Amino acid sequence: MVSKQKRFDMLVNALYADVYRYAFWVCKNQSMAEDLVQETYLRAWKSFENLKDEKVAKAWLFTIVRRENARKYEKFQPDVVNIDEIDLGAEGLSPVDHGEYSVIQKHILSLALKFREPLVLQLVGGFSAQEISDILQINKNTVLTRLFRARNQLKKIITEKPAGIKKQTGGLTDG
Amino acid sequence: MDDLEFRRQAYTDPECKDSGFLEHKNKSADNVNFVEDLQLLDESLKQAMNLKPPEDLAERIKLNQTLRHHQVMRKRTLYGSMAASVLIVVAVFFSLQPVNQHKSNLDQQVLSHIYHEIDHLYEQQDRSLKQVNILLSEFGSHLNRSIGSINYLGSCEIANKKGVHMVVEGTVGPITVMMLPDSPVNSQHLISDKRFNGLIMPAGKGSMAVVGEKGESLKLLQEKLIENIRWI
Repeated sequence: MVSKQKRFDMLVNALYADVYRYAFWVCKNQSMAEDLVQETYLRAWKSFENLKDEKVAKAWLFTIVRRENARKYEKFQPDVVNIDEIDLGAEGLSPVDHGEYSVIQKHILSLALKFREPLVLQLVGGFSAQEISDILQINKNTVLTRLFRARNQLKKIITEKPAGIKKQTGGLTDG
Repeated sequence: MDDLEFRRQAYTDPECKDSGFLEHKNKSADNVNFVEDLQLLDESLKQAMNLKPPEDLAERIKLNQTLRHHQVMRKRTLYGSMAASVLIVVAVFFSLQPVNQHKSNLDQQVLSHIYHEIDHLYEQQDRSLKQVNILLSEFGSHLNRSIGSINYLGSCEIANKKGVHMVVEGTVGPITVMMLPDSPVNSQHLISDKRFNGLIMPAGKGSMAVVGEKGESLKLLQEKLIENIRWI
């Protein structure tokens, strides 16, 4: 029988990167995201007995991230941000790559939270629409509509700008 | 599925595996291209979202949890005044070396602390050298190389002074290693009781203690510690 400590450590190792990414795309600040991740895992430790099945651990952790973010940071965060005001230099985002990816990151950040969040849950979390609905506590049809609008908006912005996405296969990832 | 529904579904999830969706997609080259464009967009979005987490974040998360957990445990204890002081007791065991053995107040507190936090002897945290050094750096020291399997790592208080408490896997049993940077001792000396044998010695500006079960040879661990501990 694996000890609680070992199970917890395994959960950290397996999911900390995605939890961090989700936290970042929700709060849009790297330091805040790190704080959020720390608080999330502390809460997870305290209520570890609530996690009945490790298969739903990611969804469980992401739900805790949301709650912690709502508690601490939401009141400081505008829903829509002026792209030009975002400083994505050395202190902010570390771009996955120079050029187009940092532009795409800016575009993602420019989305309102209610559209950005379901998209991040789908692409970072790998969740289905039903799972996203459970995490966000909103109707599944609302999730589908928001995913539609998020992609629709991003496609428009990206294909309208000359420095937008190029059609290419593969590409650099940042781990 | 009509065109409108097809496009809507593609925007919602370009990787949709629904048979009706796939059938509609394969009806024309335009439909295939439409979906592929959105799949390419998703690839770029995924890569953009795939930020690299800060270095050592996983290590710091695990360490933070352990420290917080033991803070909570200490608050719950009935022995409020004897709250954990972490002494790194490096068991430097010179069995033939005559040492000035005396039960000083610090000796008693080290042993009391081990009994008070006896559960640590049975933990299996498996801490990395990196995690050890994150904590040691707060107390002005550093380990150049691993000294063995670290089953417990935390910070504590002995006599209102903070230090580091580790439990290392020994041959006979677990070995407690404590570092008290603010509790200097004049000389190296043995400490013991019915169950444990150990040594407290000067270390940096403070002291270190290493305590193992009776019968444990602490010489090897002692040598590793002396060789690899540094003061920063």
